[in-house]
Amino acid sequence: MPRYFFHLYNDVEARDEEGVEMPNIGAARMAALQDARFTIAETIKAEGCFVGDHRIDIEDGEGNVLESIRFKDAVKVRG
Amino acid sequence: MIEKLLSKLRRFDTVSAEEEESLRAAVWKTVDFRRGQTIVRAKTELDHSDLLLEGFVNRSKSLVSGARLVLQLAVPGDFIDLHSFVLKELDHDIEAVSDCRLALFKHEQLRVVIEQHPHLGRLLWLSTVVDAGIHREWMLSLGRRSAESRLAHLFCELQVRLTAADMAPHGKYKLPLNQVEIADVLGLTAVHTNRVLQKLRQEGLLTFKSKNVEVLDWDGLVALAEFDPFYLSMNQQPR
Repeated sequence: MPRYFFHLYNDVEARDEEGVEMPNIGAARMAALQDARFTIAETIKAEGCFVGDHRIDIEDGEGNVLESIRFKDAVKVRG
Repeated sequence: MIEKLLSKLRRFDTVSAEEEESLRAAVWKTVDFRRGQTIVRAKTELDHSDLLLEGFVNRSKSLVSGARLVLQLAVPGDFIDLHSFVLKELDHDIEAVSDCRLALFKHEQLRVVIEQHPHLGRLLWLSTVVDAGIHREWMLSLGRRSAESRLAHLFCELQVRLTAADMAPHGKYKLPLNQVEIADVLGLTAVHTNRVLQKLRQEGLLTFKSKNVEVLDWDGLVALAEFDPFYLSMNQQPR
């Protein structure tokens, strides 16, 4: 299975040095979406703040960015 | 072979030479496990208990979705399934998170030991009671501590427990867990765990790189975690 790296860019830049093995990019995308929602929720709880431009980049083992999940695309806002 | 267990029990109370000898004589055999192997599977009948001599193991439970929570980390000197002596089957899995070595004790032999040495029996009982205390502290973490404080608390606890096992000189120790495993301990995602680690590093509290933990500011870490080692009962007194 390929290894994908999930780098977080929000108020803290957290580079993923280990990566996680996933069956394909579709699975990696789903995981990054869940990761984004989790961090969004934690940040809202801790700081009451949501920044739509923060993102998680999915990279392959060669350092190529395969996808970028922006926080504003990870949630729906109503009302 | 069982030195780390003895030094752990001696933090609770004195252990006599006779008690020590009976424990040494009760070892049935040693077994090695590789990282990732399951040592004890839930709902499997057991006739022995395992003492961790080297390496790290975790106990965990999972949901059908695959979501998993690590309930406890065991370090050398921990009797990882002493409770199977009375339970006979565990409700959770125990897995090797690094290569490890275990000493096995037959339950029938443990029965002889604690019947001949009731005080030693009480110390072994206390070790399972302290395990329950660790669970209570982790419940407080999972339910009420912030992600930063939860991670800080884990690293404080591990440093104290590993120091007791002579495995954390100068605030440095090896923690052979990957980011997914740490996330499963903390009830976070791996990405968020990385974020929190990065934050604690920026605040000058600790670093965790290539499985090596280095505590840079113990007092700051303790304050963030609200860590009080009282629940580990490491004070020698008559038991």
